[in-house]
Amino acid sequence: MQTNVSPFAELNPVIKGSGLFLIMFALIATNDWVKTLVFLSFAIALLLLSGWGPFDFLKRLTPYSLLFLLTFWMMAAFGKGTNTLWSFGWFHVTSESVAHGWLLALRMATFVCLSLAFVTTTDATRFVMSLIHQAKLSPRFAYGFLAGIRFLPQLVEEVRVLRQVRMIRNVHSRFPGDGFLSIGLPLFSRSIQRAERMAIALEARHFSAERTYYEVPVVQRQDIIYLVVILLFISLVFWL
Amino acid sequence: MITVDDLSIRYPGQIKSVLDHVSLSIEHGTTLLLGRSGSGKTTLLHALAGLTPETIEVEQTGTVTRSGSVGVLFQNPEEQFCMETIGREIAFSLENRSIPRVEMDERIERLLALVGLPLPFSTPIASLSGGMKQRLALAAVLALEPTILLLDEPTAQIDPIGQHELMALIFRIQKEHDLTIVLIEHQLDVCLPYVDQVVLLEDGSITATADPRDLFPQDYKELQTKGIAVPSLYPYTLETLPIDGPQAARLQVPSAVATAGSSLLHVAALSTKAPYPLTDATFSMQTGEWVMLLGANGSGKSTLLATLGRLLPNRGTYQLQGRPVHRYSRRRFYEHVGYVFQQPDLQFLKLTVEAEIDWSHRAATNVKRAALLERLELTSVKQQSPLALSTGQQRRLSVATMLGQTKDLLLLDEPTFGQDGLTTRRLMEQLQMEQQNGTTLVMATHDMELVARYADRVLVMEQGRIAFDGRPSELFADVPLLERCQLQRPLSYQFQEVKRDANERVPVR
Repeated sequence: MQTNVSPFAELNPVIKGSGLFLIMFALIATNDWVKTLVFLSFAIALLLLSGWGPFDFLKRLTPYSLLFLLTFWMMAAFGKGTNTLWSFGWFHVTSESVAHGWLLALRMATFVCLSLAFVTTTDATRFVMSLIHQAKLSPRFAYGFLAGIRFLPQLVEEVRVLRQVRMIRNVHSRFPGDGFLSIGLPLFSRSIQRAERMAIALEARHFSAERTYYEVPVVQRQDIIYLVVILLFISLVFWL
Repeated sequence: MITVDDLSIRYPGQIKSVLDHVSLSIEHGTTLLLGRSGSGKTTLLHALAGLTPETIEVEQTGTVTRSGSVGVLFQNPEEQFCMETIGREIAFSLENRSIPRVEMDERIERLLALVGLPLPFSTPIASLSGGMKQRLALAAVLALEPTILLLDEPTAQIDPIGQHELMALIFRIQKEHDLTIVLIEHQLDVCLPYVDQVVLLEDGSITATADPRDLFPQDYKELQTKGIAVPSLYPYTLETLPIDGPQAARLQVPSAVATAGSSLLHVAALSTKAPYPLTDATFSMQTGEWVMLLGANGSGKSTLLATLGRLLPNRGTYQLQGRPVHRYSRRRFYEHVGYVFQQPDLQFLKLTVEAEIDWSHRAATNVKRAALLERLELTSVKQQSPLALSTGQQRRLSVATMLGQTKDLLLLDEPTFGQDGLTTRRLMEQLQMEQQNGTTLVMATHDMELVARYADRVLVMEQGRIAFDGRPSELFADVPLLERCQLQRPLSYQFQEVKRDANERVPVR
């Protein structure tokens, strides 16, 4: 959900997303960790420019650093390679696997930063409207998607109640996955019923694909400039 | 306006028709569809709206002809929205009608003013109260400029103050815009003064079409025994109600028997951390006491219940049977304490009704469990999944599952919310039986009639604090407090007061 306001947030959502996708493609096309590092700094810069202060940035990214370390360790400790640096039990760390792990972890961090930059600066409704107008998505899917977003807070609330019910009724799982059926089934049946009622309500409001639009996101000059800058940046990184 | 000719509707996979050869003519004015739950009211309303047989897939014969466009307002405001802000939500209706963009802002503003929500367009829907949400949903329906308005229990999911406001609003708009209204509604005293025609449905057939001024005085007792909703006062007022009639009998409240139990729980200076509002609650409760929690939305009723149920971290003293609760293990604590949530369908763990009862009443004998099922009228559905039951049945089962043999305290969060009169009465009977067995009941509610009829004691919450702790009759006498906390005096209490005044006016010879 959108939390930040900045010029970056003003961009057309679909254009903004495509620009970030271009960077992600460029990222998986390279095996060079210096280039990856350049992309990472770009992503961090984008996040800082998008409205987060350095303090917010550190606080919000701490949970992801664990993912970063894990990715690195998985690749480093179980990777292939001949030049063994350290080995213990199942662990077999080679210089190749360390390089590989480092690259993948950096890549993952860049992905996380780029996605966060998108999510924190994009309003869901505007994004979906932009999908309709710029990406020619069918309004049927688009409005269904918007209605679905409204489900999420209710789902969170329902999971909370279901867990409390299990506690109050003294059900204690003996193994993980035990609760899957008793939590998943009511959740599922409720969601289906709710989706059905919602569909009826929207249909009753004469929903049709032939319609006018209250909000029409357009592609402006700044969006073109943004795309050009991204392309220039990518070519520059690969050329140098 | 609408003519229904020999309409039959059957849901796929069911043997029995929901509507069976129904013919009906709806004229200008207001028509009320009346019947028990499951009588086919909602299906008929959907058919009138033209939602069957396509949007809602059913097997349908017969015809429905309409002269005019239709708008439908549903029960649950949450399930009618697809946008995040109020402006966009109304715009969605306008978009569907292909209204040009340049006209939209002005129309949205006019509609918001019409339903009394003069808020900025960017106001998030999530920040509105239940009553406000339903008014927004009404605005979104009116944006379609219908000439026929169909209402499916529009006030069932909102609190009493909001109910009166919404009904008054709907009928004011009807007058201004000359709308034809067909509605389903359980709050009969609120809507009947506006109703021109009552259509009575029983088991999928129309058994009566009558003017409400004739129907209720005549068939009151008969309707009541059939379990069909009846008004408390209509067509009379408190002053003109015949004292020996069936309606007056319904307003007689048995005087509460004072319970003299032993002390069960003691709470002192109990508080929760923000954003939960509870501050400095201090009270004790006896065994076998029925305590009701009252207060406006957000005043802290649910927070107090959750704190008593150890679902929220808290500060202060909380003792159960003389022992601090933190010295009970969770398992031991919930052997003594039960909790009934607002959503009954989230409270089931097993795949069949029977298994639910077996699990929650493990200690009881088979005979006792069978008797319990019988008492709850669930024997015929005992092999079904709890999720497949009707809401009323789910409510009864959800309360039953929380009543093991050893429960001393039962916490209930608005268990009658959105239920019809019959379900409410059954639930209350069930709870009363538990109370007689010595269980202490603490129940949050908005329904003042229940307070008058069942409560031994009332706690009124105001901004997280306990503003009143005492007997219901003391509360009803404290008019300033009632007004401050948006509470209404129950009809039964008002009726007794009127009678008392009348007696005093009789000259003494």
